[in-house]
Amino acid sequence: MVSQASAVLPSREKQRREPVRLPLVQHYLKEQQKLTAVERFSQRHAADALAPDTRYYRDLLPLERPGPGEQLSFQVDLDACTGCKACVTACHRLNGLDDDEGETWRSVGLLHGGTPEAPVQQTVTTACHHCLDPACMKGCPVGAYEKDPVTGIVKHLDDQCIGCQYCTLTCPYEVPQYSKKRGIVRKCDMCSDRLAEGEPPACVQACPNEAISIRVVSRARVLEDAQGEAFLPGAPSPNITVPTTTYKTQRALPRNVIPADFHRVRSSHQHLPLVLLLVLTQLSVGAFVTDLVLGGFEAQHAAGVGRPYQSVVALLLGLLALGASVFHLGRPRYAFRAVLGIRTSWMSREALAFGLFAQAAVAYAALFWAEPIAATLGITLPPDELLLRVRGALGITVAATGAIGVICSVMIYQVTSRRWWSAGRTTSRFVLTAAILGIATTSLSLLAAGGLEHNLRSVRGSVVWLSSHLTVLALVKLGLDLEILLHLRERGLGELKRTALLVVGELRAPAALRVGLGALGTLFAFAMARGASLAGAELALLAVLSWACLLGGEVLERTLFFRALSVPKMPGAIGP
Amino acid sequence: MKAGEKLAQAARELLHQKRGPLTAELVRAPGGFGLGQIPVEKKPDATTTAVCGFCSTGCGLELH
Repeated sequence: MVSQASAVLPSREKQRREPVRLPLVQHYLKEQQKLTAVERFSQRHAADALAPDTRYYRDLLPLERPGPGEQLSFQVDLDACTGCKACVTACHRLNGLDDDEGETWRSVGLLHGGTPEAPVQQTVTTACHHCLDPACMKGCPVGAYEKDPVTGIVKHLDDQCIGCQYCTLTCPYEVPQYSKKRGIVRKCDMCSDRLAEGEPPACVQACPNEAISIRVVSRARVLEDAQGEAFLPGAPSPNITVPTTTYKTQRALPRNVIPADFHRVRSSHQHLPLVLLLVLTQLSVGAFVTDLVLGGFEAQHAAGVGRPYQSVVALLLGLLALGASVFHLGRPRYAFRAVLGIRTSWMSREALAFGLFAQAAVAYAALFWAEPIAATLGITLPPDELLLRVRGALGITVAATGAIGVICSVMIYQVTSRRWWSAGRTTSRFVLTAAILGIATTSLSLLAAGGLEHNLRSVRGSVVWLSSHLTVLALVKLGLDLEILLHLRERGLGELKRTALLVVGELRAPAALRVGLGALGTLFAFAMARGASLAGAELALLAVLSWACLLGGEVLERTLFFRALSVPKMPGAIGP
Repeated sequence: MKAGEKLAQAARELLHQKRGPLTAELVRAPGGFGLGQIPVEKKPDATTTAVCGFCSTGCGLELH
C-alpha cells in the first residue's frame, strides 16, 4: 500500500526535502491567500463569531451590584499605571467624543518628588470621581445632573443642560467639559450603558496593565477616609465633594511629591457676560438703595427732583445686566429652567431674586411717572397718599430683593471653596461695587435731572454729600483690591500667591489699568465733594468722568476676579 | 393617552428633559467587532489592518 501511494504522490519527507518552487510573483500571491492562525482568529473575532473575551476584564468589574450604603467607584492601581494614555484614547474613541474640540473625559498627569539619589515619578490617571456630594449636581440651576441611587454614578442630562458652565466652576477636579459646538457640558458617566451589559468602561478595558478597575465601595468608609486627607497628593482636599475614586499603591510615595504642573501659573477664563452681569446688577441695586437712603433724608436734601430719572436709569442698567447674563448661556432659549435648582443651587436663587427685583423695579420706577402714564392711558390715579405708600413699600421691596440677589451672587462663588472667592473677599467686593457705582450713578442722574428741570440748586447739596461718601468707599475698595499684593511675600505657592503672581505678571496690564481708573475716579469724586462752589457744567463733567472711570475700574476688577483665579485641579502633566 | 395627559407630559419634558438629540449622540448600542457597547453613530461597518508608524517597532493595527 505504502509503495503504491509513494508511486502516485511524493512522500511527505520528499516534499519537505524538495519544496515546489514557483516564480516569485506566484509565490507571494499564494502566500497572501493563506491566513495565519492569528489572522484567522482575528477574522472570527471581528465577525463576532467569538464571545467577547470576558476573562481579560472579569477581574476588573465587581461581582455584585452595590448594596445599601454602597456605590460603584473607580480604583486606580498606581503601581500598574505607566502613563501610556490608552485609557484617554479609549475613552475618547469609544464614547465618540469630539475631535475638533479635543474633548477628553479622562486625563493623565504626573507626580514627582523624592531625592536626586532616589527620584520618584508617578503617573496618575483621573476622570470623574462620582463624588458622594457632587458639587456639579448641587450647583446646577436646572437639575441637569442625577446621582443614581444604586450605582452612585453621577450622570449628566445633556438635553436638560443650558450651558451656564457653573459646574465647571464648582467641580474641584475640572471634570465637566464645555462643548462650545453644542452649548452644553458633557462628562464621564463611568460608561454606565456598558456596565449595564456587563461590559467594562472603555478605560478599564483599554488599560494594558489593568490599572483601572471598578469596585464597590462603602459610602461611609469613603466619608471616613476623606477625614485623613489621603485622597491623592497634589489633588484638592477630598472633604470638598468626597470623591470615591481610590488610588492604591504598595509603595509609599515620598512626602515631598508635587504635581508636574505645580509651578505653572495660568490665568482662567474671562467670562465677560458674567463680569457685566455682576457689575451692572450691583450698580442697579446700589442705585436703588441710594435712592431709598436719599428718600429717607429727602427733607434735608430735597433731592425729589432727581428720583424719577434716577429710578429709570437704575432700572435700565439692571435690565441690561440681566440681558447680558443670557449671553453666558450655551442654550439661552432654555433659560426659563434656571429656577428648577432652587433647593440646592445659589444660581437658581440668584435668578429668582433678580427676577423679582426687576419686576418690583419696573413697578417702582413707573410709579414716579404715574401721572404722565395715567394721562396717556386715560386712567384715573388713586389718591396721592396711597400712591406714596405703595411706592414706599415697593422701594423697600426693590432694595430688599436686590440685596438678596447680591447675597446670592456672593454665595455662588463662595461655595466653590476657592480662596480668591472666599466669603470675605467676595462680599466686600460686591457690596462696595454696589455702593460705589450706585452712588456715582445716582449723582449723575441727579445732576442730569437738575439740568433738565433747570433746578440744579436743589440737587447740588445732595451730589456733594454723596460724593464725600463715594470718595471714602472708593478708597477703601482700592485698598482692599491691592491687598492681594501682600501675598507675594508668601514662600509657599498657595492659591493666593498664584493669584498675586498673575496680577503682577500675565495680568499686569488690566491690573494697572484697574488701579489707574479707580484712582482717577476717586480723585474726580473727591473734587466733586469739595466742589460746592463749582459751576453746574463743571460739576456735571466731573460726575461723568468719575462715573466712567469708576465703572471702568469696577469692570476691570471683576475681570480680574475671574481671570486671576488659580484653579485647583488634579495633578497635570509637564508641558504648556 | 388623553390630550390633557399628553400636554402635561410635554410640559414636564420641556421643564426637565431627560432624552433628546444631544443625549442620543452618546447613547450606546452593541458595536460589533469586539468593541462592546459604543455610541450608535460611531458603529463601524468594517475593519482593516495597518501598521503603526509612531515608532520603529511597527505594531500591527486593526482599524475600525
